[in-house]
Amino acid sequence: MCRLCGILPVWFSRLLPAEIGRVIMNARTSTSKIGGSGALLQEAVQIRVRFFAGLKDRVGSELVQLELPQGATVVQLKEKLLASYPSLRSAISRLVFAVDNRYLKAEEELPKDAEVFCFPPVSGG
Amino acid sequence: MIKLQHEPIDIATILQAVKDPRAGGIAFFIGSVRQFTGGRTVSALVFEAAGEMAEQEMKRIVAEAERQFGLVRGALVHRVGMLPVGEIIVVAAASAPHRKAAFDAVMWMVDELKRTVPIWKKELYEDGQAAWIHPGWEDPPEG
Repeated sequence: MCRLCGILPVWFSRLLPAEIGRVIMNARTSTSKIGGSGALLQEAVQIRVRFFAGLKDRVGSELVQLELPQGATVVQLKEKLLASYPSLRSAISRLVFAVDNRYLKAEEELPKDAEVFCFPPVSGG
Repeated sequence: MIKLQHEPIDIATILQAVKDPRAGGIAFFIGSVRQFTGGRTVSALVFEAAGEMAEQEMKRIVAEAERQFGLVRGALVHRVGMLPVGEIIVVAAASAPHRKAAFDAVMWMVDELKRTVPIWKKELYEDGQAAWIHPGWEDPPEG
């Protein structure tokens, strides 16, 4: 997390408007779901991401923890990863994610408290 | 038989696993460490896998092959760890009433394994350099 904190200022200004937009959208959705009780602050969840093979070298770590809004999808996780680790730019579109030994779809919500596996293109066989 | 293992692969064990009186043909694919790749000399490969998930994907592939090709039985075994040139990396085997289904199933299982199973190889070269192989990542990792 120290690594994350260290680079936070670099991407903070670039990322923030989009994040706020999403948070507001999510808040609206959940507000309508719960009948207007009006929670404007989106709860954040900590997502652990485990990297494999050459990704460990690119990221410089095997396991990281990221903060995402509750109900965040794989797409949002990718955006967050890219913002936190610019070295992933050329690789991000080819990454796939899995939870509990199952591949996740792009629009799928990340389960709470999950450890997400982040895979580079496979090369077995 | 579906397995991800550190120890060497024993072909005879896999043959026993797929042999069956209902089968008139058994096909094998055996993949091994090649010395030359893209003009470079390889001394060894290192395989890493997302263990449990890789085995689960291999199970899915074998089950799907058994169904799709009408196999009697399928088998898929892959090694992890460091493998020198010539060593067996992967074995796919299929028994079927007739040979075509067995051959087709083996081809399909290996293609599918290369496409979806979370296993990665790192090439160790004779000159001491090394590189993870991630198809589609053209540029080398930034240091």
